Amino acid sequence: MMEEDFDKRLSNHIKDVFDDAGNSDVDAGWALLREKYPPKNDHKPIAWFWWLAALLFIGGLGLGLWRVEKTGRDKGIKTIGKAHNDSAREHKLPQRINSKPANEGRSSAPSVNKNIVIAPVKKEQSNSAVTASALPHVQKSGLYKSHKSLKPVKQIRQKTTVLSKNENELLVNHTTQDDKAKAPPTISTDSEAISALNISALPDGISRFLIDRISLELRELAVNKLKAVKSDTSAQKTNVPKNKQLTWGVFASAFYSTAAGSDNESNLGGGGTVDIRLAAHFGFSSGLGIMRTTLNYSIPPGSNNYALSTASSFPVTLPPVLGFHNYTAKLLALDIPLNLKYSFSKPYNFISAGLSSNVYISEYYDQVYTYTPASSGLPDVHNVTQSHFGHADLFKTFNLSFGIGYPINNRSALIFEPFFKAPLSGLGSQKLKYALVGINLKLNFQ
Amino acid sequence: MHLPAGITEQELIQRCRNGDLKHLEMLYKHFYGYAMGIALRYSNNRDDALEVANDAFIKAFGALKSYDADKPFKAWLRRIVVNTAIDKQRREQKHKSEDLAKAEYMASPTNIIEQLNTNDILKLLAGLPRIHRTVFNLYEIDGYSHDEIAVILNIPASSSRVYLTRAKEKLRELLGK
Repeated sequence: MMEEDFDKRLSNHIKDVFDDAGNSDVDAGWALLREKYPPKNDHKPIAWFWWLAALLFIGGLGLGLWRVEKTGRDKGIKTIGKAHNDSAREHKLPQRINSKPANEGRSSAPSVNKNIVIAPVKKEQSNSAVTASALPHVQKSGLYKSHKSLKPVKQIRQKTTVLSKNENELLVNHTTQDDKAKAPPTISTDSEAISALNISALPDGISRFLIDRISLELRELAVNKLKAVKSDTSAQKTNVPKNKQLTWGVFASAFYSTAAGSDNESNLGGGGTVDIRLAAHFGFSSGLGIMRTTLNYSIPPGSNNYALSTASSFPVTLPPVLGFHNYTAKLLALDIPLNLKYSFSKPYNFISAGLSSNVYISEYYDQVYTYTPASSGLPDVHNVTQSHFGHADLFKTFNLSFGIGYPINNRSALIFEPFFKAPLSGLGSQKLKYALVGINLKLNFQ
Repeated sequence: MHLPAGITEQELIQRCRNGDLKHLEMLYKHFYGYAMGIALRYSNNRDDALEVANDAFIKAFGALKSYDADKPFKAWLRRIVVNTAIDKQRREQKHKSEDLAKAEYMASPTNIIEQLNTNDILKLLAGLPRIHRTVFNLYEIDGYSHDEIAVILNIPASSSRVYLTRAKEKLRELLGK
């Protein structure tokens, strides 16, 4: 009884004494804590790096937009000028059309004054062809487009060659591209064009021979002209992307993060890119992406040798021992790549390699310790470290990617870009070495 | 340490949840003595106790968002400090089963209990084997039951009772009772 009373008094006294250990060294304690909390980081270089990257990106974006706007404005001026000229020429149209019946009426020598049609053309097509060939200026102005039997025609019509009475030019008719596919290009000579050669004065056999000969040569000439027009047009088309110095893009990426000891985790990202052409095939590529990366290093339950060995070292009994179980890292980072890009002859196909810098918007690390044996029922202990804009890695990631592009129109393309990112050293504030493998789905535009 | 006028403990905790360092400092200084009192009983010296207390505060700061404001903050903090101290003991893997002869404390007259200061008690507790000391602290001072101690230390509840009895016997012996 006396012993119980003694124990009670002792316990109460200890409670009283230790209920508040006093604040005599509280300031020293706080100073000590501040060494650990929050985790100290040298924010200045990161801030500078961040601002520099943002400045470069905004500057590049501004320059690109200015160039795009300028190009659009110049094109607009040219189009307006053309339209104006064409509409002025349009007034001359009735004269030419009206001159045709007069010509027909004047044809007195059937052996000479006949239209030579080399390729068979249906009546309706023939009419269209005549109209189209006779009115190239109308086609350009857009008036031609309103013709119900014809579809809109672009640059191919601008190259139409006309053989007129006075100019001895070849009259080559082009219908719409659809029509062209259906029927070969027709070459017709105006009866006046033949009569202008004074062939009628020659004997009938010779004149026929000459007409055949001339028509054959005219045909070859027309075919050559057509080829030239085609190649010119296709060259224009392929030159469209080549002439552009800046290419912009937005992308979404899906990728796996992988590291020794970690599970492969799927992640997502996105961002924008800018490509600057330096030479015919070489360019420089940069941009700004945001990537969420997760790593999960796990140790299966029961394989915790450290915990078991610690447990066995207890002399009296086996109290639960804390041991490392799991480590998770969740990183949200800005990715700023600087890549060299080699474009293949086929537009939008490329291979690219370079280095990336990362600014970590958010870093979350969670070390989980579990008690061994698990039957203790004790909760896991988490050691969580978090930081925001606390770390940056300059040029510590190697990039390799290749792109396969599919043009959507003259100004944009859809690109599939498998990529691989490898660490050159530890990344993030906890120096983790992880690689990323995935694919970008990119929309490029000029 | 008293809180600044016009701010309650709950308000302070609420403000600390935003990570504001000024309020975290207030919270730290307000509960420093309390946390140190617990940490001291589980530690070998004041430096170790300060390390335990600070580690516990860092954990508490990080977990403030998950703290249930309806429950007493002191009890929540106490649990964190006790767990941190026990974790530290395990990490260090130092099991100093010091002989009673090594204890620096010298036995005193019967009514000495009320005269014991912090250092005297620390010396007294340091004379106990660590497992006895931990069980004594958990049961007698921090109010855990033997069943709870059994779970925390993963020992049978009966062992907990035995360790407590032996701890008390040794304390009485040290105090000359």
